[in-house]
Amino acid sequence: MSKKIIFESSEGESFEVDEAVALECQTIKNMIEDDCTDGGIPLANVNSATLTKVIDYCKKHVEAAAAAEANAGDKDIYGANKDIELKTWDEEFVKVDQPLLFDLMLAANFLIIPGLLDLTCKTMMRGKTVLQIREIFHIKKDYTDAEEAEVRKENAWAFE
Amino acid sequence: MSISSKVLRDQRHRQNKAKQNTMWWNCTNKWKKSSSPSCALSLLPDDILLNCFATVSRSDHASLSLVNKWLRSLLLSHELYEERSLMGRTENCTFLCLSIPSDPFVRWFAFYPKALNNRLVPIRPHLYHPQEASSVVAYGCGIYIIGGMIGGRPSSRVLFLDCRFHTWSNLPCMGIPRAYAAAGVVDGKIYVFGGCQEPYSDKWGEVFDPTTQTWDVLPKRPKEPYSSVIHESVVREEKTVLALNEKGNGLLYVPSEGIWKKGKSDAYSPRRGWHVIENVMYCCVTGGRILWCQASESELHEPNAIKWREVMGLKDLKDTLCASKLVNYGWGLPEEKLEDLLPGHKLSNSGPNMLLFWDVLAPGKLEIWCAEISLQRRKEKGEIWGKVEWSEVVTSIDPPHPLPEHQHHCKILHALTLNL
Repeated sequence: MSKKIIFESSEGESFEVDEAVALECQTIKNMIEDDCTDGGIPLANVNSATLTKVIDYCKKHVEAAAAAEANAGDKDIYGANKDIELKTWDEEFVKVDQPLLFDLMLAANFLIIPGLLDLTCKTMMRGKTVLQIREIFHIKKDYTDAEEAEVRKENAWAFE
Repeated sequence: MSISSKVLRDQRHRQNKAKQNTMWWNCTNKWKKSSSPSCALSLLPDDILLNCFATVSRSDHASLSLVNKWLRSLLLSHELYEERSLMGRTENCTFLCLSIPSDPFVRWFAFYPKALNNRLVPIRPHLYHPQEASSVVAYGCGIYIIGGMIGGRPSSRVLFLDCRFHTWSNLPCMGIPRAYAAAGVVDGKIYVFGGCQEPYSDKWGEVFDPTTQTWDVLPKRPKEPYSSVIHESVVREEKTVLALNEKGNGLLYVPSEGIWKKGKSDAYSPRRGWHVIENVMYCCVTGGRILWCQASESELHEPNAIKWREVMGLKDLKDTLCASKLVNYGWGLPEEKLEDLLPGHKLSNSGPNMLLFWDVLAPGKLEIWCAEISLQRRKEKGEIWGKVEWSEVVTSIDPPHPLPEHQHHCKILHALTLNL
């Protein structure tokens, strides 16, 4: 039976996870090493919805790493497939609305989960048009027509 | 997870941790604060914000600049470039310098292989850019244009093109004017020699330190006759600057020891456009061929000539390369004659892959083509095989009508790749 770690979300909800899963978070890893995880870890700036997703992510990646290690002998055959499967899973995982994506980013940053931070950051800007970016992030266009024309001229090559 | 990706992940962990440690107290959240409060991005601290935008390819920066002023200044910031290199998100970008008939200015273009439909992105010209004979090196975030001919005379001026922002600046001049000098970067310093009129000048060789922005004089070269007109120069194994003069004589400068060495000779002048990719030296020859030799071979041992071998597998390109006249050789010979004697295709690289440029005179327009070629070493036979990954038109130029056809060709003066 592996050791369990208990997280507490900002709403006070408890989440029990395997130590191996918690170790995916560098911040928690440091706490475990310093032996200060007894009685649960309160995460005052991570809500339950976000924490559920974060734990899902860590679980999946621990499983994938274990599977890859088990298959290390015939890595040439299965290694590549596993990578693709995990990548597809990651892509599905970040198909969330923008506020949750931000919460995931902030949580990944706080807990130091480089893979998740990377994944969410990459997703934020991907495949979005200028108009979509303005709309999604509530950004007001502050160029005058003349200024916009100037920026367009500067970058004319990109708009052909 | 494979061992290497695990190592990589651990490295990232450590890097992120180190970053976190230095960031949390000195992070000013300058960008977060300067965004409008209604903007959703203002929820993110600067390090995440920069992290997000660092993942965006440079070729998309232009259209993103249109969102608003704040985002434009973020994309043009030094912080973003620091973040990109910290995260290993840098991309290879090739910079081409072209001399176009009837255009009074020498033009630089940025070229992002495989992005933006492989088009060349024009950069605002520097009005005092030498027409020819400059030595150029790529180092750090930009390109140094050293000396060259201005108004028919050698110049001591040094220009710097910041390849991140496509802006120009003037750097301190060299001690003496130079045209057709050797230049190379070793250990973060730019070594320049030859190309001067006085063969035994005290300042025959000079070195520029980009951090202190100062020039220093190199030790004196042995008192042996050596023509200062340099045709080719490359950096060998990141340690030695190798030059070949107009007579085909090699000369090496070893910065770590501060000494000059005699190099092998390569008197067959049509082998031009030397370019080092992963310690292998390549060159172009007439007949649309590409040759290679081990870069270490240029040092003087017997026999006294570099042994070149042909890059295999590129037969399909030969005819089109043969007809190309894209390279400028200058030095006052009538161009028409020279063009048939010297190769007209130009070598560069994008990471470990070779980039090859050539031109095609199509009815009513001149097309510049580029091919990316992956290189494979076949050790058992001592061969290098090239495989064309893609080849495409990168730009086409309308030839000016009053000029005779042979003057329609534009010329590549330089092609350099930076990782930005």
